[in-house]
Amino acid sequence: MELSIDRVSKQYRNKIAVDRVSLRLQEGVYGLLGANGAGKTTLMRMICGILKPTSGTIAFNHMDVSTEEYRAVLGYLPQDFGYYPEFKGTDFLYYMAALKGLTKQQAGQKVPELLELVSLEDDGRRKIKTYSGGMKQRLGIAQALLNDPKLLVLDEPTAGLDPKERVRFRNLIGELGKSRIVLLSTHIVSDIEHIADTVLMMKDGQMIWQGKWEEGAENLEDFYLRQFEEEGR
Amino acid sequence: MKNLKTLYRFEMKKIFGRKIVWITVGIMLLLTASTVCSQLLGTYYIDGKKVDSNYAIFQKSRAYEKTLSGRPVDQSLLEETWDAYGKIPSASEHYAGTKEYWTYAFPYSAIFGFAANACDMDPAEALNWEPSEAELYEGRTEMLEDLWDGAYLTEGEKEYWRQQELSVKTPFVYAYKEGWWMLLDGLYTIGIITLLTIAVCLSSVFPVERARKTDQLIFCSCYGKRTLYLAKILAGISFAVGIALLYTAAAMVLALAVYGCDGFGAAFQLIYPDYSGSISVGQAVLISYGLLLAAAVLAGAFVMVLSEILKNAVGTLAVISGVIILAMFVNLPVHLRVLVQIWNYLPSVFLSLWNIFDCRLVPFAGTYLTNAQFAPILYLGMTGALLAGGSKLYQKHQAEIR
Repeated sequence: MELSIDRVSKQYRNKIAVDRVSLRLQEGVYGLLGANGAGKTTLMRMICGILKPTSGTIAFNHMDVSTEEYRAVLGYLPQDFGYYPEFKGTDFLYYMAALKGLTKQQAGQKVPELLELVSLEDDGRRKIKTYSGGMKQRLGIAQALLNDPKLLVLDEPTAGLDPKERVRFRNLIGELGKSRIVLLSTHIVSDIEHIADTVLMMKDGQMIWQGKWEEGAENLEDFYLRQFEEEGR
Repeated sequence: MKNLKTLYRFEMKKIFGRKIVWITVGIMLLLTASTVCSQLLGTYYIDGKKVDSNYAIFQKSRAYEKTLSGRPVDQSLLEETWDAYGKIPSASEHYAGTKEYWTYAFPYSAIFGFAANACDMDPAEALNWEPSEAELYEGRTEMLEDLWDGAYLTEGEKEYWRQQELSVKTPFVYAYKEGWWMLLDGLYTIGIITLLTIAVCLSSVFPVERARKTDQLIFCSCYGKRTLYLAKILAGISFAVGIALLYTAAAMVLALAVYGCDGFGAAFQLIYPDYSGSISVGQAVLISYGLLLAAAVLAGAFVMVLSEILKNAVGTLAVISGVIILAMFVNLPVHLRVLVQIWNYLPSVFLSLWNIFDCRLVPFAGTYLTNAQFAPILYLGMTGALLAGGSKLYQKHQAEIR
């Protein structure tokens, strides 16, 4: 299992959002760190096939990012996304399950399972417009897991969650990373410190650091800040 | 296609989940009802003097027309009619304001109106006309030849209509047909109402995903491109067809309940003498409302594809409303024959008695197609082309950072 990102760039009129990023990711959790505007979300959108790179290629097990097969193994939780307010929580998940190619039977099994996983089993019959921000985020996490993805891309997955839920999801992500590729971005350095096997750091569209983060080594936050200071000099 | 049915069901749920859809359909249903019944409301005045309520006039007129139903419009009926109109004092400025008109002539007003219309006579000319069955039907033939010349028909087209005219049986047998007439008379308004409803309700089918930022979720899903596009299109088109059927059913139920179902088999020329061809009033209604369905399919496809191009529901609605309003004011010179014919196929213009049954023809495989035959082919062909183009555009959609 390998996600191959080869010299991927995204250029807007007068700005390079992502600049020749190359990565090879295998099973495990990858934590993507970077300041606002560093290019994290643009890179993640390109990995999810919803934004076309200006140059470079992205493939999972030799399946190109633009193919239906690639999307069939992908789970994505965007940073800022909407819902259908007229849908109930279960409607939304059944809709997403149909989009992800699950049969009715598979969806019927998976939806209650995921609602329970994200602690929304009692709220599934309620309309999404009545949900709190945290509940919507949990519903978003549930939809990302519907097709049991081999490649899971999570953009700020713990945003809006209370501290208890955050810890629970950190552990869940750690579990998920044992059998798939999980790429997550966050501003919360401690989240990455606890669950990411590999840390990736982006600045001005470029990957400025990547490597394993050993427990007991230097504090990641200090290291992270130092990288940016050094780059800034 | 896997999961198409499920996705279609959810797309329908999205359309019907919006309050604006229910409000628009409710208001437009009321407008449809008022289109059909408006002539019964209010009071009938002549020279500022109240005569009676419109409803009372309608009831009297219906009773008289039913008495005339089944009688051929021949020499005998024409003489009866003109004898009755002869009792109106010739000095009177407005004959409809005289007591004699209401007592003697009004029972024959339907026949008088038909003859005047068929021979292209104004009321003063008609009053002085010497009734003659032969002159009536010859006069109609002359009127048709003038009409064809005025529409710049080719000799081939004129010959086509002359052949069609041979199948028209004369003398026409008079029939009360108010229910069917009201449906034909209201077609233009019901057509505009349908197009506006489609524009309001379908202009957000695609842009809403971008506005709600759900495009990021659907475009990275396995079936978020081809299958979802098809599901959205099918939902939108079936909504458009459903709306056209709903307004048609509402208009038909109301018109036939209020005015009666009589006259389905009456000659169409009793309503529209300009048409050559052997069809009944009821058939004309079915053809017209069938074309409303074809126009609704095209309008649905056009609205959805335009909204995908503009990526904006309000912009789409503004363009569609603008085109509908503009079409009401545009009057192209008749001598620009081809341009007029193309313009008349615009659904908001086309859905009217005078365009559906227009005499201009389309040459096709050595013969000619009438507007009623060519429009569905054109509309469905254009729908196919629009949807194919829309699909390419939709596949290229990118979730830019906003």
